[in-house]
Amino acid sequence: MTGILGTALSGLMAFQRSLDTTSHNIANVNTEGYSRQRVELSTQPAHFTGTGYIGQGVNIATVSRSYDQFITKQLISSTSAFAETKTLSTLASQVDNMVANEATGLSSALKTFFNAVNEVANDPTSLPARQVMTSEAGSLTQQFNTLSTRFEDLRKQTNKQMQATVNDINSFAESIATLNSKIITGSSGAASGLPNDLLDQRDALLAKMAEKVGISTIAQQDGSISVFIGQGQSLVLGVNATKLSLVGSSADASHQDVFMGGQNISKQITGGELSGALKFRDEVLDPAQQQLGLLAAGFAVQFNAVHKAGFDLGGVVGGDMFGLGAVPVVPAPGSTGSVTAVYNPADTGNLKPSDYRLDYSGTAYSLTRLSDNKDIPLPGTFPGIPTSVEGMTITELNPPTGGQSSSFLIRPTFEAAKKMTMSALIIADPSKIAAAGATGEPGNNTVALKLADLEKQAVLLNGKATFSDAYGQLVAKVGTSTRSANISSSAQEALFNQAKQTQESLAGVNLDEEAANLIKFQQSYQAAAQAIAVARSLFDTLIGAIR
Amino acid sequence: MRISTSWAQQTSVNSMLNQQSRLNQTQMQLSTGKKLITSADDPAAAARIIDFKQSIKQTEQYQSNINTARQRLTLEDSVLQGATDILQRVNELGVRGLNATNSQSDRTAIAVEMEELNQQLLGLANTRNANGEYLFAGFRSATQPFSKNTSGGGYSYAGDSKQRAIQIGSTRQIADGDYGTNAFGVPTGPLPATVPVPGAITNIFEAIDKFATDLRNDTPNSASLDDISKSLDKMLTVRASVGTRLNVLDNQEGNNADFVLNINTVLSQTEDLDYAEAISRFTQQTVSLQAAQQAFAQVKKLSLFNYL
Repeated sequence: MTGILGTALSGLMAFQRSLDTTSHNIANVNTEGYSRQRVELSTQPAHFTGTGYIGQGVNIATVSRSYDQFITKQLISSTSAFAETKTLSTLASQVDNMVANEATGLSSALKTFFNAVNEVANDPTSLPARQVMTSEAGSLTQQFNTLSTRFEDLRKQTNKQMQATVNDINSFAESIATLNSKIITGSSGAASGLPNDLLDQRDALLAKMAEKVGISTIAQQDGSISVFIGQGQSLVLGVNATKLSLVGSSADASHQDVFMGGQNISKQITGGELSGALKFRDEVLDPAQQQLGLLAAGFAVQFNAVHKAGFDLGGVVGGDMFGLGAVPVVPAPGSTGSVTAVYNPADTGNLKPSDYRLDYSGTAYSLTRLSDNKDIPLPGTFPGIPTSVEGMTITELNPPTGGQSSSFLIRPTFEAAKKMTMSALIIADPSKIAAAGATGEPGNNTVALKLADLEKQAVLLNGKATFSDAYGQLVAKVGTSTRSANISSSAQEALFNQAKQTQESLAGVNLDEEAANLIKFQQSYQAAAQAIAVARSLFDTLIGAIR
Repeated sequence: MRISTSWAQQTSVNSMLNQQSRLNQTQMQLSTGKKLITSADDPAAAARIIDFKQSIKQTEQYQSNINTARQRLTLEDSVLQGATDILQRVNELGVRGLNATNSQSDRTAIAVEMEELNQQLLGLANTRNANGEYLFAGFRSATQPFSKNTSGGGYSYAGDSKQRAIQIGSTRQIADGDYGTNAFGVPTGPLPATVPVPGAITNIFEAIDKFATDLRNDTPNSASLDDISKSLDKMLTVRASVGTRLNVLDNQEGNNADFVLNINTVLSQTEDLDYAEAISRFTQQTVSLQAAQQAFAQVKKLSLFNYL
């Protein structure tokens, strides 16, 4: 008799737990990262009697969660890949819209300007025509400046986004370390089960972190999980988390790199929004800005060179129409000596959209083009005689002291579009436009014709590109990067969805299934309760027989 | 396969979002009439479009340059027409003045008219265009080219012998005028010791002046007629060259217009939307979005909990 009661009670207990878990599942149907749980039942060890083994009811073995570490790892890696390409594609689209748009792009400003130059060539003595050319030159300059400012805004925005991402990564790492410590405590000792909900929380954090940066994980014996980024740099080790930080480069504070423990790990970071933002900067934004600068520098230098050969309405020799200044040279910290660089009008074809590094080893100089890390040979006469390389003339002003090694960053194109200005003299007096080929000949338009002809001259990119071609190349480059980012983003999205579906198929809650379970466990509970009722009536019968 | 409830919802929502974004792209294409919304849609085509538009704009500028050149050459032509008429009249007067039946007073009257005509001719040679530039001064367009010397007689030329070129095609330039000495002859300036003899005077003003002076003195030289007719020939040659250049302008204008038309055709093929295709795509996308929405609403009604 006590057997019936005990067995029935064990059933009641087991089904109550099952109902609890079912309603827990239902309650968490929309919880991010939740893995459905089920109560694992087993038979209680049977009681041996002379007539054989008699069952003693049911036992709750454990509450397990549906979990597969391979599926989870797959999901984490495809999350990173998707987040990376999505970030890259979103950011690249902004540049794409900017350069390809008729209103914000440069092509229409270039065309209008050269049309105005043509009008001056047609009517070199007409002040209205000169006035129009002056204002068109002004708006072209403005257009260069505006585009460059927008690129800089994008850079700032990207930096902010990277900072937010790094902050997120740090706080996730912190939380994972904390959870690690709770899980170590929760899964050790007398408790036989695992802290399922804590494990879910940790997995959800890992998934969130994977969105920010590509990670690899290793589960430890004690239940904790270690997280690595890049090429094995440990972010979380047991209960300890390491912090990432962003540090601006010494030559350009707006060029930020990811540091961990004093070491630059930008190059090693793969996957996630962080990598997407870094890739955007290195593969889309910087090259676009360099190419725009190349166009600005090439245009201004060529135009000035022709213009200075002419004479204005007053018969005075022409000046610079566009201001650009010297090529910026930034010495690395600790460098001594000084170096200057200016644009070489005869060699704009060799100007490249890149920064350069001039190193002094202590005995000799060497020049490296940073876009492709190519060594640019310097003539043996340098530094004694200034040298003309890559569209610039580089001059050593003062040698580094005492044969100390030094390094200089030379940036011919990076800021050219930003620094371009229009001559204030010409703005104030358009008759200063030098259209004539000789002094005292106001009707002479030979220089104006040459200026107008510059539109058709292939003076950029090894003498293969006109100004408009160079801009077309910029648009095509940005467009191609954006397109390939878009394509790989949708490919990665498909992979991510597949991984997510596999994961959800295993771990997600299905309400119909839970409804069916609810009915099943309710019926089982009712049946077990019925067994108790039977036991009671048996007991009553027995009592009645004695009475 | 097992399907989790929240994921089933998410996938349906995702697919609706995707369909919406495709529909939006088509809608943008329809409202702009362009195949490409951003250069990422087709980077190579985007670069080509920039190229095409630049060529079109440049050629349109050549067309406007042609108009400028045409206006100048037409003005020059009409000035030269006037000058030719004057020369013909001078020639007539000269023939009459040489007639031996004339009295001295008749010849004086003829000389007066001739000098008057010479004044008119000088005025024509110093014509200015709408910008105030002298037509026949070469590059020194701010300086009056021909003037009568106040002392010593004769005329002087203050222009130069250069012609302004105008770009009318990518490789074609044309002179928008002629310099004064080309049309009116080189003046000798203040009369030198050996006074030029009729028949050897190259400058038209000096030739007429000499003719008129001789008529006044009742000693006309028939060789003066040669001077006039040589000048007339020279002027007609210049006029012929102006006419040729006007023809060249017409030709080039036609070429340029053809070029623009061709490029516009290619440009339109590259960037313009095929409306028939886009509208049918739009309809199809609308239908599939509606279907997805209806399916979602239907499926969401199904739940075992409805029967508990």
